[in-house]
Amino acid sequence: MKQNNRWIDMGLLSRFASIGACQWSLLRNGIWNEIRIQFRHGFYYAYALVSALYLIILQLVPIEYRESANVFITFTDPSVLGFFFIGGLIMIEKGQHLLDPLFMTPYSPEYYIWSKVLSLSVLSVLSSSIIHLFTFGFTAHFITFLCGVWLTSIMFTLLGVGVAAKCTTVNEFFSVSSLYGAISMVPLLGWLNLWESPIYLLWPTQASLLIIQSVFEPLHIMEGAYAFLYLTVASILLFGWARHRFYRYMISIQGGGKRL
Amino acid sequence: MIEVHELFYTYPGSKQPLLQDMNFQIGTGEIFGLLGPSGAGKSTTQKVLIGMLKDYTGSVKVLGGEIASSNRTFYEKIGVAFEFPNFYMRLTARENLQMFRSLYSVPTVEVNEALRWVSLEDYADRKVQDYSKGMKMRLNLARSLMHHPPLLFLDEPTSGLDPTNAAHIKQLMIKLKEEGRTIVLTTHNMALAEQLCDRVAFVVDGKIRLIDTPARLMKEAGQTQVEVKYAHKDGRVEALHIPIHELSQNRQFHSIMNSQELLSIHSHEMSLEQLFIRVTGRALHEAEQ
Ligand SMILES: Nc1ncnc2c1ncn2[C@@H]1O[C@H](COP(=O)(O)OP(=O)(O)O)[C@@H](O)[C@H]1O
Ligand SMILES: [Mg+2]
Repeated sequence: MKQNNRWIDMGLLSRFASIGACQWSLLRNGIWNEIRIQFRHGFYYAYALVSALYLIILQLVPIEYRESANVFITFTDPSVLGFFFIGGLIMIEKGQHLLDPLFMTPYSPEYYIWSKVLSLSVLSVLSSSIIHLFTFGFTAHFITFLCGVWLTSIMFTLLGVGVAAKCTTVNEFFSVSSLYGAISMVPLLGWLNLWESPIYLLWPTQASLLIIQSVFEPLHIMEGAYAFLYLTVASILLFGWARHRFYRYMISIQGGGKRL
Repeated sequence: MIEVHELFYTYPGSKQPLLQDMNFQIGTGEIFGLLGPSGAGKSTTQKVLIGMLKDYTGSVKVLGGEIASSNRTFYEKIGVAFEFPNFYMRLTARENLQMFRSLYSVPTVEVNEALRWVSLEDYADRKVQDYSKGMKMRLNLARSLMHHPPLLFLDEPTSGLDPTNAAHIKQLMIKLKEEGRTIVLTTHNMALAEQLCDRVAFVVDGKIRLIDTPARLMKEAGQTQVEVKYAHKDGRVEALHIPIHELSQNRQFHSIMNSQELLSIHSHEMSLEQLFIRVTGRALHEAEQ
């Protein structure tokens, strides 16, 4: 495939150039289709249950720790759920050989990736909202908090797309992704006061933590600007990377050896 | 509709080109059959034509443009039914068609109507995982037709089907032909090709050996043939097919008469299938799925 070694310019510039050409109806239908599939695979029931469980846990946590617990839970679960779910979804589609017929329609890998990413971010936002609203009610910085969850979810799902593209089984995905997952969670060390260092600012997930935390401790304007900008840039770069891996490992083997 | 000129295609990782020097044109409204044994390269040819394999050499023009540089709107205009009918197993037939339908921006048919085309309307709300192979193949065809594509690619649409299902699909294809669709049909079912195709190409080892109308082929095939069975010295038995009027000049026949043990001579009319064997030296059904 021609795209292989030029993913930066293909992935970013051509996408930027064609944002105007995006067919919103196709993206919207793609997202609805994904939500239907995720619903059918029980993702929504699972997260209704998980959210309810967290609500109970938060009630059990002493009130002085409840805010920190909410930040910790939101950051480590609803924000990153897409990272793990995307692996399952892509493996199912690889296993059922659905990519061939899907890409025989105007649906392209770019729409495919964004439909998955944005649909899973809906689940992240819903789950985080339920957990937060039922524990603390509608707080002043709730919307900022949701934006943080949303951007973090997008970033992690894009990471998951890139990882899943190369994997062939769910087990392989989980073993590879646990490494990526561990690396991305490093800023938690600082957040938990285990080992403090400004180096965490290099992690986009540090930006996530800052924004999620801001629902209780409002951010300084510069911090906020850094965090939102960094998450956005990280997501754009990850999209280029995920797209590159997708074409390289999933599209270029199309038509080859994909037999039932 | 389709113009292929000096097409070569090599799969990544293999040294030899699989498709070698293919040349053919397909006109609007034509049903063009790619015939050949398993592994001949029929599906690969089709995958080049539908833009899945872009690293070919030569020129492949489909619907007016070079396929390697086509954009996604190309897929609004073609319908593809792959050899293997793949769907979201946990979704119903209706949900599957609904999903695929939603990906087009050209007008599409109602899902119920599409299911009626392939007589699956009574099974619309059954999950695809509970479908039989025949039902999935029919659903596969319905999926490829929902956006009324003028150009269709059908890869082995009757492979592995019982006669009832096969007849059903054939009937539908006759209807499509009457509607004036252009169809590229991949098959190793000679009878199907004879009945449906305007022209057929014999594909063997990635090369096209012959392109002609079934009528002309049948005319040639209709000549009386002589089947000469003989044994080699090691006991292997082989058969030779020679048109009856060429018998006296056929040198192989003479050498068999002289040096090898002649077992039998029969005369009979040649079928299209035997013509294929004679032209290509290969059987069509040597590895039927
Ligand atoms: N991705 C691939 N890489 C290498 N070889 C392949 C690939 N896909 C198919 N082939 C080989 O190409 C040959 C032709 O395959 P195919 O076009 O599917 O044949 P047909 O459809 O005529 O049965 C086969 O020998 C097959 O093993
Ligand atoms: Mg084939």
